[in-house]
Amino acid sequence: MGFLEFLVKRADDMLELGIAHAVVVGAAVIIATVLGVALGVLTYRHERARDLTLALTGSFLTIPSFALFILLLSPLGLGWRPVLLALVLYGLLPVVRNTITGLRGVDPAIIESAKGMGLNRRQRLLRIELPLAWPVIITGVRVTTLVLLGIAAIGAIVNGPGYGELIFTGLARVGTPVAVNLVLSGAVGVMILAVLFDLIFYAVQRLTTSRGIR
Amino acid sequence: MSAPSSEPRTDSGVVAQTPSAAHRRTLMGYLTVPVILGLVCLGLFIYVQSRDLDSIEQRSLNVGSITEALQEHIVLTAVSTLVTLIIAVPLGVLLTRPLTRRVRPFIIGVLTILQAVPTIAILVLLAVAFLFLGFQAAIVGLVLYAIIPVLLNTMVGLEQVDANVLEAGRGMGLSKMQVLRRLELPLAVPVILAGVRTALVINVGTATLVTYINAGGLGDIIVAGLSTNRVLVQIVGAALTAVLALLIDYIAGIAEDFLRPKGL
Amino acid sequence: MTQTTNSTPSVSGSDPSVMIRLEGLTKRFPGQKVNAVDELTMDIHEGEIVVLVGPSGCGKTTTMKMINRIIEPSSGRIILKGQDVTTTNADDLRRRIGYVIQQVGLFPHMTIGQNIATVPRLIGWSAERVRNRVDELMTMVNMDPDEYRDRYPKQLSGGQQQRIGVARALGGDPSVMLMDEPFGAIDPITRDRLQNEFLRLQSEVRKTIVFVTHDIDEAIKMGDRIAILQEGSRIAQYDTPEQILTAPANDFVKDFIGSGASLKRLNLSRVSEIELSTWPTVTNEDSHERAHELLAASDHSAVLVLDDEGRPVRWAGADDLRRGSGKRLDQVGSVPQAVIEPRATLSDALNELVTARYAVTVVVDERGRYQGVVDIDQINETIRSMRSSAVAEARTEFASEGADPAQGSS
Repeated sequence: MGFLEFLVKRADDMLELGIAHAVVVGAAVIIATVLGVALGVLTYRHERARDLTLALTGSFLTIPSFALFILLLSPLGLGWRPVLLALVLYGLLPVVRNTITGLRGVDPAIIESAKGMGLNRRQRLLRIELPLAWPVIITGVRVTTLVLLGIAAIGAIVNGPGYGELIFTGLARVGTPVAVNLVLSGAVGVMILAVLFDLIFYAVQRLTTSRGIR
Repeated sequence: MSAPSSEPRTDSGVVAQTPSAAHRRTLMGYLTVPVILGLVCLGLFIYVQSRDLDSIEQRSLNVGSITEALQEHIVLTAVSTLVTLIIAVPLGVLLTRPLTRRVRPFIIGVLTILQAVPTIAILVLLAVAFLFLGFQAAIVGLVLYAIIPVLLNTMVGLEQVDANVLEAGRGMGLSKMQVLRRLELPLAVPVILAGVRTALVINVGTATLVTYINAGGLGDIIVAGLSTNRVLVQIVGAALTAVLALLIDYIAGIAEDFLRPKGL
Repeated sequence: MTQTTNSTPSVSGSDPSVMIRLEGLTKRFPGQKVNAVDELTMDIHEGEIVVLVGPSGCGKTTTMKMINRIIEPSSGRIILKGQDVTTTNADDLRRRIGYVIQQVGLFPHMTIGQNIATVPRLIGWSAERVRNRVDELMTMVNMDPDEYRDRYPKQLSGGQQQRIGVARALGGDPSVMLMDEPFGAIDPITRDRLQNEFLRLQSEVRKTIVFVTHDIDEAIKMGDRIAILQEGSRIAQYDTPEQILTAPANDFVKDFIGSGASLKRLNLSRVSEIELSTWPTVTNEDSHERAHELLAASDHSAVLVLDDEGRPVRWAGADDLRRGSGKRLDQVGSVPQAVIEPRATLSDALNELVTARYAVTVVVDERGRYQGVVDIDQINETIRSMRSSAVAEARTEFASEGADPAQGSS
């Protein structure tokens, strides 16, 4: 059976797994973005807090995904929970780092004139600093999403949702003709999601970034 | 944006371990990580000692098999990192020559998206499609995956070398090769070092998965625990992997601090 | 000159013309041994441009930034319109004070219109009123609202950006403006134009302005009153530009003004303020004989040829007339280069004059018609009379104040 034939036959499976994969990654990205931006906003003005946050979120990213899934398995059980948490932890560093870089990169003259015009701390943050840091932040989120899509596939070892299931099933059937198709379809599925996510992010980036700073 | 970001990686789309915040580490700073990791190992050791292990657990959790797995893991990481660098750095240099200026954004875009290819898919594909198993297959798989971030890192690093410096160099009569050797590469050393660190961290992580293609490593212990449903074995394997990864990253970080040219 | 505030003024707080009063204002930055601003006391009157000028590090910018509390004073008081604002809500205070900085600091992600609308929106104006205000301000700074309202800052030149910076600072119609070297980063030609535009604008809006610069020439040009500051923001002299140039209070002021004080004084008077000299003129319809007659009757070596509208078109000397005999008068001689309008300063006139053919600058009205000429004697005369009147004035004041010894500091 050819690969394309296989894909057509398994179209329902592909769609279902794809949605599951996209949902868990999408949720992780949203949570990581909210948490990461919050952490960045809270720490970017204090050197020690900043360094500590970066070191901590950095060490999450250093822990191999395979190991992290297993470590989260005991407290969270099988299924989507350990996968979601692991993906959030992996997603934090790029978001936090880019938030901090973006906020610190805002021209001090702009902040001073905002201050001089009587914008209070919150108004400065929401109207000036975050919009200006946004292109940097969203670039971080965009790249993180791609990496998380790949990592999510490994989540299948703890029965996580998504295309990983196809890859591990293929692995279990090494030597059978269907094995290659299974693994390939899993990889291709992730790649399709990657392209889709990237296109969505491109659109979001265009729509949420002021023309004045593109 | 009006303000150029100080970190070159933020716009490039390379997600890698780069706590450049650790420029001025104090002695305390240097000690924190090894102390924490040591305590984790100690706790793990005491806990395992305090338990009565059944025969299955004993088969995985003994000094001999753990040392062997650890050794395999380190060798896999070291060799794959070396090969990654030998390929990625020259390729990065090549891809940043003026010749490729017009296709460069395209190349970077494609490489960025390719980061989404699951590592496990690459490894498993080698096994199921080519029946390519064992150490060599593992190295191929690891290198294939790690090459992208390191390549991106190198390209971005070389691109961000100040164009004025290069022009000044050319103006002083240095040839193109001399500019590359004496200015561009030294100025890009921090970026290449960061690439080394990235490669190490990625490879030490991916090496956990090569157990699936019979290439050993700490993944052996985890998978043994999984297939026999022994939680303790799983956790010991996973914790050791995490400790090793953090330790390698830590050492790479220190090396980065010391090898970085003065003044950069 | 009615008042000099070199010595500590009596703090009565009753003078209604005082817009800003600084009392014993002091700033010491953490970790520094000396005060950046040390016990500064000064009054700034309504509707005046007060320029704080001094060498770098003298504390002039710190002083200015304490007025809107971008830098919080260590001690002392700031009194705005009779109200002590030293500890009131800083954000509310800042919305009442326009702020222009050298780097402009336009918000790059907002359009020009949105930038200008920032403060009006903050203080809760209606959308309609904000819209009108934006258009009004853009027109005021010579930027066509319809063309520029929806552009982004990066699409403007440096000079245009600073125009918008000024318009934005005027947004909420503040009574006070603080300007920190606003034209410092702009090329000399554009700077000159912006300065002139700003002076014209100020003559309409009559704001109380505190203007910081390190450039004494800019201070002389812009200031109704200049405070020359020494280290620690100690006032070396606080007076009108005329007084500072003609009667510097001490050696510090003298040194700071530099050697070109007489020339700088020329920046103070405009061509329209002096009596112009006359020059023999002919029209292009006149005959060569008439031109020769005029030349012979005067001690000048050329006549000025005017066209039908009375605009100068040629210099015609005796040689030119001889060589061009038979031609119409507007075909002979050379085209006048040094031509200025009455709004120009004597300094401009002098600049033109030194390179001009017959050592005079021709003055024309706004439609280009000949008004008269300025020559070196007139400029000399102006400098002399300015000096003597200033000295006389200083003497009278000195006598009336009862020989106050506390000159030069506060």
